[in-house]
Amino acid sequence: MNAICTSCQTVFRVDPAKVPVAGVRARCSVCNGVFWVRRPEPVVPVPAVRVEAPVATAPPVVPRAAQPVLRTPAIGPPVVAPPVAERAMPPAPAISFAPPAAPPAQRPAVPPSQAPASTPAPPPRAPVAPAFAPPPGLGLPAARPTPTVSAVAPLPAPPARPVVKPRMNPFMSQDPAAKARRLARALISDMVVYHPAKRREGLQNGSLKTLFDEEIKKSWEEYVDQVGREAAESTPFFHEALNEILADGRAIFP
Amino acid sequence: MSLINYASREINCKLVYYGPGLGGKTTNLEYIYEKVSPSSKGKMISLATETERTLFFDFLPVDLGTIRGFKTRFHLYTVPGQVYYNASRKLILKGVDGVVFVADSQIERMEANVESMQNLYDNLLQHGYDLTKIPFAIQYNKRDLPNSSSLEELQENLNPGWPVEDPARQKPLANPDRPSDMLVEQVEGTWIERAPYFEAVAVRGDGVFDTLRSISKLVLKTLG
Repeated sequence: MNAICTSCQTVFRVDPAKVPVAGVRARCSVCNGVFWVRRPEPVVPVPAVRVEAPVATAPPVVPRAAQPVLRTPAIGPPVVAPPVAERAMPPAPAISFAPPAAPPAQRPAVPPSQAPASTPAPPPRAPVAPAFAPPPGLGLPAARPTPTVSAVAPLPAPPARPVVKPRMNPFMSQDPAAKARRLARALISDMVVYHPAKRREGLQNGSLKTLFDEEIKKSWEEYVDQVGREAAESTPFFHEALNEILADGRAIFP
Repeated sequence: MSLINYASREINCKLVYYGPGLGGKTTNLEYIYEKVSPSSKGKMISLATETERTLFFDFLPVDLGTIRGFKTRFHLYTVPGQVYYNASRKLILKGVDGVVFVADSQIERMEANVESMQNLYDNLLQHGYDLTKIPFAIQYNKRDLPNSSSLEELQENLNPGWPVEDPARQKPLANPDRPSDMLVEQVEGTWIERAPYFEAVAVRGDGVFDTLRSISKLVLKTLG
């Protein structure tokens, strides 16, 4: 069966026999995100919404055609509709996993370096080393509220590369590290374009740190908020961006 | 979330100008405000910082004519572009009918463009919208600057396209406003669709109304 990380969409091959009946939480070896893995039903009736979703986490979009309409002159006369129509927001996304029987055919062309989407999936017990192992003794009930991350056992680094589905549009799925790096650089790039005079002064007087103290704090908070404290503190992206972009290549920010 | 008021015979649509900081979103609205006749526009509201940078949003209501007795009023919004104002951006996107992404063509702002585009995809998704399925246009602004990225580079980074799943739509489709620009085409055996794009120099008004015309047409099409 396949398990998909809900944070970075990486697909892992999992032996269903190792998944407890009640499901198990697992930590993604790529982005460290925690997500649920559930055992598939013996006979899988595939829900239509899951098969139709172009991306596993994409929520349903408001079907415009089904909403109260008003025709334009080129199309036809006005349609009788309720006096005031307001579009309702669709429900929040709830899809976490691709069903085991879901075909990968909706994926675009495959980069040569990756496993092709159309390649038949190996049998469940194929000797493919799983990229993660479900932590033992954590068969939690499905209805349990969001558990704490600390309850999840740290997982060893994967011996094999995960099966990554090819994606045509990089904005629909991102490598968390690349995303964090780009976010850091964009935050610092903003400082440069919004405060060019202050930066010049800071570079000349060596007072860059003091002058940009507030902006750096605000940016760091946003960075932590978006990538998570652990990822923010364990990667050098933010300080690299400060030195490279704000300090013009000087190692001012340790 | 366009509002159709049958009593007052009005359609209200929400357009959001999105993009990196200092990319020209407010400049777009200011140019539109300057050129639209007083009878067709409301008051432009700008919540800006003391240095004239957008703090929360700009707002401009514009009437774009009448369709079968219904007055079409577009509410134009901008968002603050600076990365750390994400909470405001998310809020402003709520109930959006169409999005214009105003990219800054300067080479040194490419990463900020890509970050902002990713942020747009992510924030829309959190509201339950898929950018590939709502009216969306891209404006490459500041085309007059000498340090601009090439159009190909901008398209590759910001408008990579998405697969066309519906077989009925798997046929070449040109941008009606610019036939040389293909909105749907086959690339290496896969049908892909891209957002319509426009080159602009917003401070001069170049491309500003082309962009507005395109996005408003796309929004009106969804109502029909």
